[in-house]
This record gives sequence, C-alpha cells and structure tokens, in this order.
Amino acid sequence: MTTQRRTLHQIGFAIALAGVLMLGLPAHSAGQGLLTGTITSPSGAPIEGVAVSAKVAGHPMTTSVYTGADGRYFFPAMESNEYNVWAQAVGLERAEATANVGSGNVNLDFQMAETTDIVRQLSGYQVLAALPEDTREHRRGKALFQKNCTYCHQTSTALRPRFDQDGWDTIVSVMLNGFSPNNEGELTEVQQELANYLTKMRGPGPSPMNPQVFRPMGEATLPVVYEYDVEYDGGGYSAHNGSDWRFGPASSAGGTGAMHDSAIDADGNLWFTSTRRSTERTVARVDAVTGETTSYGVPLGNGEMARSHGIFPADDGKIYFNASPRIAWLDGTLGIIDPEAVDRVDGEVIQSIPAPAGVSGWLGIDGMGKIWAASGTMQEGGALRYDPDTGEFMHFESPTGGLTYGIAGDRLGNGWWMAVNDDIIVHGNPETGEITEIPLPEQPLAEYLQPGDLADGEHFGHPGLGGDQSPRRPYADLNGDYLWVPNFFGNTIVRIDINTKELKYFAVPFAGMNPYEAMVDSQSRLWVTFQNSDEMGRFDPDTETWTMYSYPTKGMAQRHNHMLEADGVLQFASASGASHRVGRMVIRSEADVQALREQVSGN
Amino acid sequence: MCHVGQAPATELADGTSGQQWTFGPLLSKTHAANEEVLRDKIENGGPKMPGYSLSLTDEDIDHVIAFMKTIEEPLTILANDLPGE
Repeated sequence: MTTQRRTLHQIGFAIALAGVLMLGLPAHSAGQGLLTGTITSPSGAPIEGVAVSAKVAGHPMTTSVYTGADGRYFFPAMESNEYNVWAQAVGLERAEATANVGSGNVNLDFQMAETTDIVRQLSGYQVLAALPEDTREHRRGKALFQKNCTYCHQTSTALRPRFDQDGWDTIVSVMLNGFSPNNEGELTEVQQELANYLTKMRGPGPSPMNPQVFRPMGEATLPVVYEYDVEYDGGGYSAHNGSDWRFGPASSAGGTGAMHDSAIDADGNLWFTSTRRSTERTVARVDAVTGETTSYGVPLGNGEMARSHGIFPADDGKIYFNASPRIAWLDGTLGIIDPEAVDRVDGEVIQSIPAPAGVSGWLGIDGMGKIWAASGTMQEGGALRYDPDTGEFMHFESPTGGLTYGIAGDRLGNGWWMAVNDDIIVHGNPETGEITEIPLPEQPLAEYLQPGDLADGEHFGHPGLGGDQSPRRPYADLNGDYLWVPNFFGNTIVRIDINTKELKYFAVPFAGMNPYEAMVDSQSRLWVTFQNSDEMGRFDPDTETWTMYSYPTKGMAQRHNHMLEADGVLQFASASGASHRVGRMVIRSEADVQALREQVSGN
Repeated sequence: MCHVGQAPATELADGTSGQQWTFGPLLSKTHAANEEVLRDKIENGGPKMPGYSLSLTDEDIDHVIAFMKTIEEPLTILANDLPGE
C-alpha cells in the first residue's frame, strides 16, 4: 500500500522553461520572450558574476543567471508574464525591478552600488577566509570555530548576527552543551576560548575580520539555475529561504529536518527525500514546469510514513532510496519508485523491499548496473548490493569499520564504502567475497594551524559524525580507474586507484569548505559539493585546477550531489533543508549563451 | 528553533529527531502583552538568550514585536505563503 497527495494546487500557468531538460536554447517560441540586460557600477564599468534572478509572484520557481565579463546576462526563453527581477553579488547592494516579458525581448539594466556590509552575503568558507591567521590566538580560535560551528549549518550562519560576550557565551553553551532546556550553561575552558574569540570577531568592538569579494568568473558565469520553494508537508513555505542576501543565510524552520537529498529523473523532475516525521511524505517529486510538489509515502503501520535520506536514480529509470522507521538514515528497507508509473492510477508507485540487513541512507550504482546501499549500525558498518534484475541482495560486513556513510560502486562491479567515524575506506569484491579496509593516513588538523598552536596532546574534536578526515560520499569514474572521496573534516579530496588501491590527496581551494559528495562526468572531471558553501566545485584532474559555480541562495549547506548528463548537457540537482528548496543547475556552454546573444541582437 | 516547536536537527544518533520541543518558550501574542518588557528582552537577552541589540535595529525590533502580536497560538513551524520576492 502506498499513499500520495497533491500538496500544491496546479497553478494556472506553466512557466519559463524552454524545454525542461534541454536548455541548449534554440530560438524562442511564440508566447515566450528573452530577458537580458547589463549590470554596471556607478562609474559605468561592467560587473562580472552578478546573480540575476527572476520570479513570477505566487509561483514556486526562481530562475537565475550570472553576468559575464561584459556585464551582460541572458535568461533562457521565458513564458510571457510579469517577473520580479533582482540582482545580487557579494560586495554590492541588491537591486530590484519588474519586467513584463512578452513575445519579444526585454532589456533590463541595473546599476549597482558597493556596500561594506559584506559578511551576511558570504557563504561559510568565505566567512572563514575573512578570519585572521596572524596570531596563535587567532589561529586557535579560527580552528575551534571551523571545527565546532559547522555540520548542522554553515559557518556563515553562525556569524550572521553580532553578540556581546554574554550573548556568545550563551550561544556556545546552547550549541555545544545540548540544545535542551536542561542545559546548565557551564562552559569548558576551550568553549570559553571559543566564545571569547567569537566576541572579538563579531562583537561590540571593531573586528579584525577582513572579508573579501567572491563572485563567479569565466565559465562559472554560464549556468542557469532553477530553484523551487517546496511546500512543507504541513503546509506553508520557508520564511527565510536565503534568496534575499540582505538577511543572510537561509534559516528555514525545517532546518535539515525537512529534506536531504535530491535527484533529477529522465523527465527533468526533481525528487527529494524527507527526513522528518510525517504522515504523508517519505519522498516527494517537484514538477519542473509547474513547481507542484507531490508526496509519496512508505507506511510504517502507525499512521506515519517512513523517513528517507538517500536517493539515487538508476540506469533502469527507477529511483532508489532508503525508507527508515525512526532515524532517517538507519535500519530501513530499500524503497523503489518508478517515475513513469506515478501518473498512472493503477500504477505500482512505491516498492518497499526488506533486505538481509538494514538499508542506510546512502546509495550508489556500479558499472554493472547493481545498486549499492550502506548498511549496518552506528557501531558495525556494512554494505548491501542489490541486483535489479533478480531482486537478490548480497550483504557485506566491515571487518572493523563502524558506521557506514557514503557508498559507491566502481566500473568493475566492486563496492566502496566509508567508515566515516574511523577514517577507513572499505572495499568489497562481490566475486570473491573479499573485504579490504584502507585506513586513511593521518593528515594535518586544519590547513592554517602552525606548530605550537596546539598544546602537546591537545586535540580539537568535532561534533556530529566523523573522524578527523571523515570520508563522506564517494563516486567512482565508471569510465576510468579512480574512486574519488571527499573528506569532510579533512577538507581534502582523496583519489583511489581501484586496481592498486593507491591513494593520492588533492587540496580544495579554501579552508573549511567541508567537501561532501563527488560526481564524475563523461570527461572524467570531478564535481564536488561543499557543505560549508553555496557553491559547487569542478576539479579538472589534468590541470589540478578548480572552478567554483555558485547557487544564488545563501546558507544552502548542500550535502548530496546528483548529476544528470544527457545529450552533452550537464545538470546538477540541489536540495537544501535550510532554505527548503530544491533546484537544478544547468551548465550552459559559451555557444548556448552566444546563441542567445545573437537572438537578442537579431531582433 | 528556540521559540518554534520544531526539531533543531535530525541527524542525531539518539533518535531524538522530530521531537516537538524548543529551547525557549513557545512564543505567541501573549508574550507581547508588555511591549516594554519584550523589547528589553530582545535587546538585552537573558540567562539563556543572547541580546540582539548589536544585530537588530530599532525598526527591526518593531517588526518582530508587530509580528509576535499576530501569533494567536504558538507556532509549530515558521512558514510563510509562497514568497513573491
């Protein structure tokens, strides 16, 4: 038995998508128009990397593009309507206007003034970059802040407000000694050091912070981003979704408790998992055109639906997820939903398949089309392999590794899973049954700490899950021989040769980015999400260079990563519990934008 | 959330996720009955609440108080109508 419920009534118009999947941007059709313009400084100089967003009031979807080096922006063809349009960039005051897009072209220019109120506009790692490293006191405080004040949210969320000493003492106590009315508020010596540091950085006095301007550049200005405000399963939308940067990072009441992972199906619709107690929602679909959210539940038998954490669309067109009874990422069944069946009245919408061991909230696929899922308990890790053709499971138990976090299959059909608390990567060979553990070699605690900053034997621990490096969500190049593993607390990427098991570490561009999940495209380029950012990074292994792509939402704290590559176009799914939004970033090419430029100039 | 009945986080190992508890009192218009006391609390905080005098302007605090006066019953979730921007 399954349930579903329409959670948003059909809105009387379809909006702004010139092809849900393919945004190669052919000439626009009747009833659609092009919105373009130029953004300059008060002196008339073009500004690169400004996010320009457009939205029809009352519709869930926001479309955003970025200005190129010439200051020009080009939206894809949009349905005729009145749009609220706003422009934002770090270091600039927000600008707003309305645009009536008809069947022709609309030119909307903005002149944007500089602002000094930058901290609220920064994402997490950008806030960290503003914190000084000139003294031992500052480096220790920065490391304490970096390691303790993220994971649930970005560090930018923590430094959005300013407080006095009493205020920061209270905040540190609440956050580190238990978010409970029973918290007595006593700070340890190190906690007091952190509270003193925060008072110095964001307190009543002058701050030594030195915020820098971060804006996308070059290729990173090409994408178009579609974001959808998602209705809570109890009704209503986020009161602060992070789209207005003046108010700082998103702080949805749902927090991370409402949604976790998302994925794009073959029709371009977005699916996301729901981690919160609900009577209707285990997973949900957001229609890419209408923005309508539809919930699907796996009943637990007590009037509630299972919770879910991980989701993965497989080669068979079906979407796999965990359906867990209590904690969203443990002890579940294997949920399977067929996107092609959801609109058929008699369709079998959801399957809930018991496995030989609990299905945890991380899934992947190997080169043979087999589904891999994390399994086990907090203390004993493991993995499951599911064969969609036969319906059979294989169960693997980690020799020593505890809780299994992310998991991936490689092109040879082997499984790789992360013992996240133990800094161990586990390898399972289904043919031989052999299970191998690869301990990660010790790495520096934080990039900027210097010898002597920590006392002998002193160790800065991390709240939440994870060892010192905390390997998170890996992905194997299914056309190559490498597995890529983002190390969350270690702030590194480690590459593993699937044949020799040789490791190689790579740095990420900035301190404290918290790399989370990797994907690899058909050109063997790595795409990584960073929890302490509103960005996604592309790493080119040949040149060992990073390109940072931005989402126009602050405080996203995105964790998962899902890529859809079809007909030469890359798309990435986003989901943010903090903003309670899902989205798609479509990577346009220079030719795509040039085609729009020619259409505009030709009319 | 400190004053809205919503779980502060979900990824807790002890299974407390989804519980409808808050750190501070659930707020409604009854807490805005004495505006002077409320304004002082927002500005200067209390034993388990930071003061917001460095983060909110007087006008911001006016908006907070005005919003609180509209809350008939304590909120279990802070939700809006679909934003228009």
